Amino acid sequence: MEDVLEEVVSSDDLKKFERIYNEQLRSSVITQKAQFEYAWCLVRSKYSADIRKGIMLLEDLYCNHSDSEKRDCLYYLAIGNARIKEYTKALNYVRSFLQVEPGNQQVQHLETLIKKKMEKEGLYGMAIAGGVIIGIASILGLSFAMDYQMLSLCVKSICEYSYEEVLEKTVANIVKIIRKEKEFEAKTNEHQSQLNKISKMSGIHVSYPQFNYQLLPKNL
Amino acid sequence: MNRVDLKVVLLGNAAVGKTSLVERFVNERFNESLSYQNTIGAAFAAKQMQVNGKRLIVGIWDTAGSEKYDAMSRIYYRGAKAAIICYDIIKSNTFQRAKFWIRELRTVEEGCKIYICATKNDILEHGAVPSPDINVVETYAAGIQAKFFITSSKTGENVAELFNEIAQDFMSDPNNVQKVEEVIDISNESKGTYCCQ
Repeated sequence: MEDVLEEVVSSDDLKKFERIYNEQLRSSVITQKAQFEYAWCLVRSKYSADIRKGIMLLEDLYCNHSDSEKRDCLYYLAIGNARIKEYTKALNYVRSFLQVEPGNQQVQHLETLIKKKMEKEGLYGMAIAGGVIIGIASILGLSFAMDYQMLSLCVKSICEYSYEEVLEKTVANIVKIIRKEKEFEAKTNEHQSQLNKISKMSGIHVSYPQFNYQLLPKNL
Repeated sequence: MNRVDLKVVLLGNAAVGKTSLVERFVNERFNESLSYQNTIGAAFAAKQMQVNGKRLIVGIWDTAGSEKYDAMSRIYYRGAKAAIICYDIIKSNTFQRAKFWIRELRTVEEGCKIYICATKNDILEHGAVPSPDINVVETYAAGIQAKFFITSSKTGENVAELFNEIAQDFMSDPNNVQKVEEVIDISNESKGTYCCQ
């Protein structure tokens, strides 16, 4: 709720302002107010087609408006672009706003939100790659100790779920895998110490087979 | 902070000090050197409060005061449990605008308690005179069963008191207390449920 990038317009509100705008469109006199309010709803829609339309309306307002209106347009242009993942554009709008009004807290806050979102998505790419590698390692090396389900879940999640869900599931899976790995390690250590005991008692050197990473395929 | 127990909305003319009031309450500061900035659309802030030993998260929607944002403010006051209607203590036109919002809320959002807030009380020290007279506002507030506070975000006068009153009023309704408790129960439960399955 706190996040201006996550806030979504209710469909009733969107329809209401759309109707006003369309009525004015038919009478061919569109007030800035109607256009702005409609655009403001559009950029907060969950559909990117709506957001793009909102951005177009805002760009139009920006070009044909007095300076005081430009300020508000810039703010919502930044929000709209960030929502369709046009981060570079969004940050450009934020920066041009801050050039005029460096101390504006709403816009400073928006800038941190956009950067956070970008970071989160960078991490998200890494998380999937990491999950798949650990998953494959688990199948190849520790096929009995680890389970195949983990990897299939990773892969399934990439195909079937939305973006935030993938991140969430992948991270959860990695955590699960790491836990399993820890368990496995503990067991291995236990075995190793037992083997050490046997070695000492019998005088014959016995060692526990180590996982060989060299055996992993070079290409996926 | 994902959940909000108590939604509060701020309404009032542009430049009466709604954002400063939120800033004082949430961050306990007032930035005198900062020049005036119109809020765009609406800004959101949240703060945790303690009322009768219970935790309560207050979400505050700070709306833009300029008239072109009226349609948006209407979207933000929906479902609010409390509205702080601000006016500048020495500017009667802002009090007229406060009355406009009060009339509207009374017809549209019946469940929303109204708190009238005269801002910038510190300027009276420099010889400014309240307009309208404080008595007039008190009578008006009593007539519509609204509470009335005179605050200064600069000195912090009455700001915490205003929000405490809102939280107390909210928690005095047993239905609200139950809702808050339910939420806390669930969040406690979920803390203990991660296990290695």
